[in-house]
Order: sequence, then structure tokens, then C-alpha cells
Amino acid sequence: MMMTVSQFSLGRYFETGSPVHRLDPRTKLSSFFVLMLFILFIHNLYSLLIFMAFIAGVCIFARLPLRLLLVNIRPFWFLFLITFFLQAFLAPSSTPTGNFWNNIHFSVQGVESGLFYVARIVLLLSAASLLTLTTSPMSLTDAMEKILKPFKNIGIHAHEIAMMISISMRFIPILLDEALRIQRAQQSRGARFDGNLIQRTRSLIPLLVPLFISAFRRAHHLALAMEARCYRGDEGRTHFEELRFRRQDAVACFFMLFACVPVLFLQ
Amino acid sequence: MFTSLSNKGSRPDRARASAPAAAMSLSGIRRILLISLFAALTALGGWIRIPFVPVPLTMQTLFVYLSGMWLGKTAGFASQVVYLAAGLAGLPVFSAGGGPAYVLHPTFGYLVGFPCAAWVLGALFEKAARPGSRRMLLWAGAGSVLIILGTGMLGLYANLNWISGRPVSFTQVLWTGFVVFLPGECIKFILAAVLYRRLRNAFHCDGDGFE
Repeated sequence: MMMTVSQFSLGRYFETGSPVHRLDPRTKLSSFFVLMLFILFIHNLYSLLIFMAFIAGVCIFARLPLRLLLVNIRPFWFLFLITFFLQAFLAPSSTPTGNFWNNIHFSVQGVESGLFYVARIVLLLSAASLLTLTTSPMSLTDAMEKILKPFKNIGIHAHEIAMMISISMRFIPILLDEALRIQRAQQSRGARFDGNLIQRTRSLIPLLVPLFISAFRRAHHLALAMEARCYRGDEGRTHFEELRFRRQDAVACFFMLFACVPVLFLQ
Repeated sequence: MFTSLSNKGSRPDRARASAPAAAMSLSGIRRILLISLFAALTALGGWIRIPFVPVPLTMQTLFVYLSGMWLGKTAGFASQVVYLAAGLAGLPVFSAGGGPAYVLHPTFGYLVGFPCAAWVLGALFEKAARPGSRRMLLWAGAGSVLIILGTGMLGLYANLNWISGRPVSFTQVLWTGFVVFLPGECIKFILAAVLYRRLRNAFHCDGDGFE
């Protein structure tokens, strides 16, 4: 009945060893945000084409198969569909009347703007997928930690957040394993996981209580292990790979601005 | 397993001595670990699902409620922020994957509601004289369910109006983004409350979840 682990590809890191992969994650993260801002405010076809060319260029340069990008934006098909149909069949010129069905009519202009909006969303999504396809989650959290470091004074402890993300990432497979094991153990004791909705919900209790108890115990052991190794937060902590802004990062930033400046003038 | 554990703390004085909101007093490492643990459990909750019409019931918000109840407002909020940050950084912990593009997903509003609901629940449980009493659970449940569904509904509305670029009426969103999920959320909150009581009784130490 439950514990369905589905296949995910969205946001998965895809290693090809290309120059884009080896860029400083801070460069990639900040250019992503700049690109996102620009894409959100474009309103004409030429700027759209410029950014499409830019994204395609990055994709080729990163040696990523284009199919991967398509797989990444597939979960959003519902959004595309809604966007397209709302734009295409509810023409902007029509004045709303009481009856919803009266407003529906087909127009070429509507279809055009529908395609434009869908293309813009596709662009946004592919920019985001490019970021996560070329940057591993761990180096992204590293970059976030470095970028957020100056905000420590206002209560954002970047190091702690990055640490918690990596710990919880390692907890997930362990807990999943544990949950499956407990489910089988309880079934072997005669627990049933079927019936109507109320019975099924109740049947989760003998699963979740042991899960919690074992999870707390694991956290306890990990705390002891970390204390034994003198973990003291970020003071005096060093990294295996220090992030450095190098020449290729400067080149990447230059290309980025090269794509953005004409768009600024086209508006 | 759990029956033997829950019998231990059935005396009222013992139940009282084990208020789990004491997680606030935990030392640095323990607190960090408990926060990460609840972030991981929230991710796991997406994979525990009960088939149910019209939408399958996932156990995700169950852990959101429990994180607020168990960890208190600051740590509960932090655990959900960590969950969101992990998903936005590209780990596939959301129901349709992860990555920064998820901000554009129609269901992102519900995710934004998670930390808010955890904070409110935690604040209520820290303040309450008797956390876990029926009357209090009723108010806390109504509040947190409304927060998650409310932000989710607003997110859906904003997504359809501004990203899809076409207005959708508020009543339509109210129906598809709020009413449909209401019974499921109520069931999950009740389950969370039952679990909270069981666990509170199971850990008859000072309630931080560590023996």
C-alpha cells in the first residue's frame, strides 16, 4: 500500500567533467539568479531567442545531452498546459461576462501569446535544471554557505544550515531502510496495512512509533560520535577543497553579461 | 513494541515531566541533529502514502506538525527551512523532484506553509500549560492546517495568475486548492497528535528524545 519510492531525475547532478562543471559554484549560483531576473522580465521575442541561444550554448559547452533538460522539465507539463490554454482560448480583449463559456474563443493572437509564455517558463526551468545538472548539491550548499556568511550577524548561521542539509541528506536513505524493515517486522507479527481509510491511518501508528524511536537513537549516537571528535561548529574548520574565483569564472561572468546587455536595450 | 513503551508513562505526573518542547534546552550538536532528523523525516513522509480519492494522502505534513510539536518554534521552523533549502539546492526531496525551478511549481505555496505551520505549532506548544490537552490540540490543529492550506492556496492562485499570466477566480482556487485537501489534513493532524502523546509517554526522560 505504501512506501513507493519513485524514480526522480529532476535536479539530479550529471557529471561530465566539462569546464562548466568545474566552475566555482558561487559563479553558477549568482549567474543563475541574474539570468532568472532577466528572464522574468522579458516581453519580446528577440530577447527570448537570445536567452534560448545562451542556454543551448551552455548546454553544449557542458556536454549535456539535450534530452536530459527535457526530462528535467517534464514534471511541469501541467503548468505548460494550463498556461497555454488560458492564454490561447481566453483572449485578452474579451470583456468578462457572467457566463464563463461565453468568454472562450479562439484567436491567433492568443495562441501566439500562449506559446510565448510557455517558452518563457521552459526557459526558466531549463536555466534552473542547468544549475543543478552541472553542480552537485553539496557544492551548491557550500556556495550558499559562503554567500550567506556575512549575514551571520542578523541570525543566519550559514554553516549550521549547510551542515544540517548534509546530515539530513544522509539520514534519508537510512530512515527509508528502517521504515521498510519495521513495516516487514510488524507484518510478520500480524499487523495489517489495508482496510478503509481510518483503519489504514491507524495502521501507520505501529510503523511510525518504532521509526521515531530508532531515529532518535541514531541521532543520539551520531551526537556522541561528533562530540567525541570535538565538533565545534564552523570555528577553525577547514575545507577539503577551498572555493576560489579563477579566470574561467571571470570568462563565464563575461559571457553571461554579454547575453544580458542586448536584452536590456531590446526592452 | 509500542504498547509496552506507551504503558510506561501512563501516569499523569510522569507524562507531565516529559514535555518534549524542552528540546529548546538542548546543546548545539543535539539540536542540529534533531533538526536534520525532522528535515529528513519530512522528506521521507513524501514517500509514505495512502491511496485515497481524489488525491493520495502523503504523510509529509504529518512530520511538519510533529516537528513543531516536538522541537518547539525555533527548531521546528529551522527543520522545515532545512527541508526547503535541501530541495531548492537540487536534492530530489519534493514530491516532483527538486531544484530552484520548483519555485514555479503550482504546489510550492504548500511547501512555504510548512515552516510557518511548524513555527506556530511550536509556539503554541511551548506556551501551553498542558501541551497535548484536547482543547489546545483543537485550536493548534485548526491553526496549522489553515496555515498550510492557506499559503498553498495563495501560492496556487499567484502561480496561475502571474506565471501563467491569466486570472483565475478565487473561488475556483479555493475549491481545488483548499477544500479537496481539508479532510486529509485533519486526519493527519489527528494522527500527529496521537503520535505526539505516544512518543511523549515513551520517552520518560526529560523529553529531548535522547535517552
